[in-house]
Amino acid sequence: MWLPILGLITGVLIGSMFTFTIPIIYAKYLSVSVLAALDSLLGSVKALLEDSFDSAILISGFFANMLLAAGLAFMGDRLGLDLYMAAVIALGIRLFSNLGAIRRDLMEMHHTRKALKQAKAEAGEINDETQQ
Amino acid sequence: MMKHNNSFYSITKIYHPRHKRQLKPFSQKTWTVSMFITFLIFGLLLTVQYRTKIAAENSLANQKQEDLVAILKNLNTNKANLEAELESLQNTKKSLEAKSEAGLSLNNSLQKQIRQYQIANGNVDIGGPGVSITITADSNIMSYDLIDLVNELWISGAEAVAINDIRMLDTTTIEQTEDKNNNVVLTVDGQVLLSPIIITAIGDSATLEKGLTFPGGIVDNLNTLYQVYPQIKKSDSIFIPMATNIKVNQYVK
Repeated sequence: MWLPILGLITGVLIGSMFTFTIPIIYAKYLSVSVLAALDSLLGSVKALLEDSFDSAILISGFFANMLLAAGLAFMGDRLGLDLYMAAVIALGIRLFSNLGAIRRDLMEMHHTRKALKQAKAEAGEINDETQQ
Repeated sequence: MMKHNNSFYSITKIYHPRHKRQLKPFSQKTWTVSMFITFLIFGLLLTVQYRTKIAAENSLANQKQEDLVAILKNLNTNKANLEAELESLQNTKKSLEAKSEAGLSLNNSLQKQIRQYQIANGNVDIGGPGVSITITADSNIMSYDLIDLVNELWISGAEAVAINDIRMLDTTTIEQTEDKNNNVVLTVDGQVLLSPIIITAIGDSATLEKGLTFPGGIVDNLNTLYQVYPQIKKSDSIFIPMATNIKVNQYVK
């Protein structure tokens, strides 16, 4: 549970330790890539909650989305078209839908847990009754 | 009882409402590693992008026009100030150099003057071309003759004169006195002259010699009137040691 958060913190720390910057002309591509990566991560959390998680899908999607987003931005620059906007809009929509799904999943999980607890309690009462 | 148990077990199997799949505790191994890696990369990218953004914002290309104008103005005034400072410093340097040069030449001329005064006052050993006049013991020479000889040497352009290595200074006296045995002796600044008397003079040797030996001159007079026969010898290296008969001023201020 805490390992992904630890990974995030480690990544931020490593990034802060090395004073590495990329050339400014590539900053736009990286920013779109970061958005794609965030979308992949939210998708993975959602998959985790819905029990459809697959490491291969996460890793491949993570890098493929990043590359596609950066590639779109790059291509847009070459064609004189703001294609990175397409990536931003698509990813933005996905981000919100993913977040919404995660929210609902968490709520439903909470409700089912509560129902389970109640059922357990009732079953206990029944058991107590039968034993008497 | 069995019925209740069945209902209990059926309710423990929780299905996801939309996906109709069983919800079960996450198997730690499968997801943590890949999520750790992806989160790590995400954090790394986020930081790098953030830093790049900050660097881009701070770069001149992304500054506002007014800011750039202000920066340019500031730099220009700075430059002007520094240029003015440079100019003034260069002027100072020039004036200092001029002063140092003047000081150097003054120093040189003062050194020359000091040397001149030392030579004149007999504070140093001196040498140069000149003549030496030897007067042997058998000659009948008087103090006046010595004075005349020395005067003639000065007139002929001698720069330094000494009798028996005693320098002729501004206070020098040439006298004729009697010693303890009542013999007449010649003295220079109180020092008794022993024979042979050798007068050395530094100057242009030819001129000095001519000044002494011209017909009707002092040597001619000495020869004919007093039978004194000074031997005049020109030399390229007359040496006169520093004076020992210097008087220290007491009253001149």
